[in-house]
Amino acid sequence: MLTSYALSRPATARFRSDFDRIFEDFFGPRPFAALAPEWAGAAYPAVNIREDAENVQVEFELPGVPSGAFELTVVGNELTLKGHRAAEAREGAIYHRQERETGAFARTLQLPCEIDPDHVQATLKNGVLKITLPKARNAKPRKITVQKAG
Amino acid sequence: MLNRMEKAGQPAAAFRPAVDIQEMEREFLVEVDLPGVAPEDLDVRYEDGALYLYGKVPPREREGARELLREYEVGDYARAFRLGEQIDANALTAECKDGVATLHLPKLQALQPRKIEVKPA
Repeated sequence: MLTSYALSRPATARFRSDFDRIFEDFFGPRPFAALAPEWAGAAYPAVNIREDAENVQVEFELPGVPSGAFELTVVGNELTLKGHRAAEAREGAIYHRQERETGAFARTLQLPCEIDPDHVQATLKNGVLKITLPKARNAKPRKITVQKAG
Repeated sequence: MLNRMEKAGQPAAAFRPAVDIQEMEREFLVEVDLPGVAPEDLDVRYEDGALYLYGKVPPREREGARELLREYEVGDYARAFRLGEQIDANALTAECKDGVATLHLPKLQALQPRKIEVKPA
């Protein structure tokens, strides 16, 4: 149900902090760690999708991406997020760690049903993009009244 | 997969956020991705030569909603780095905006590069 430029991020990709070895070396164990991040090949940004009777709820993690740096489009039952995350390298700086993703990104999601494109709402707060897509009338569950046989 | 964070409200392990660390002439710049963390929920401490970060994330599960796809889990973030005694702890600053924490860790004066005046003989 999901198309994007790369494979989905595996559920194990977000490692829990290891409290047995709580301290990490500030200066990084591998100078080129960024070339082989733990989730190499995963789609960016990560997404969670939920639905209830009325809406499909899509949530992207977009830390540090202002609302002017991406666009959302809906065509039929496809939702597309496209944008760019700027790299903020300071002049003359040496990177000791570089784990954060930067650059252009794009993801297209197949929604599970037809939606009402005129009433899609999106909010961006603390680096989380929440999109509420109301289901189209004919995609909402309808209660069927069973009539008595004549 | 069960969300282990929710088990009986016990303090659970936290997630490890992605970090960039840049070293400049006079300071270290640390940037941390903390999606879902409000500025008031970020805790930064520098103690005994170690930097501690903790970001609290409110749960955002919705009642009655069915999960269709989960690529990430929601929970607190924690990370710690040992830096040694080269940071001016009193001058450390941190801010959090759009789910990104930006920390400035100035080097101790004694470790900062100093320009040596060369006097004419």
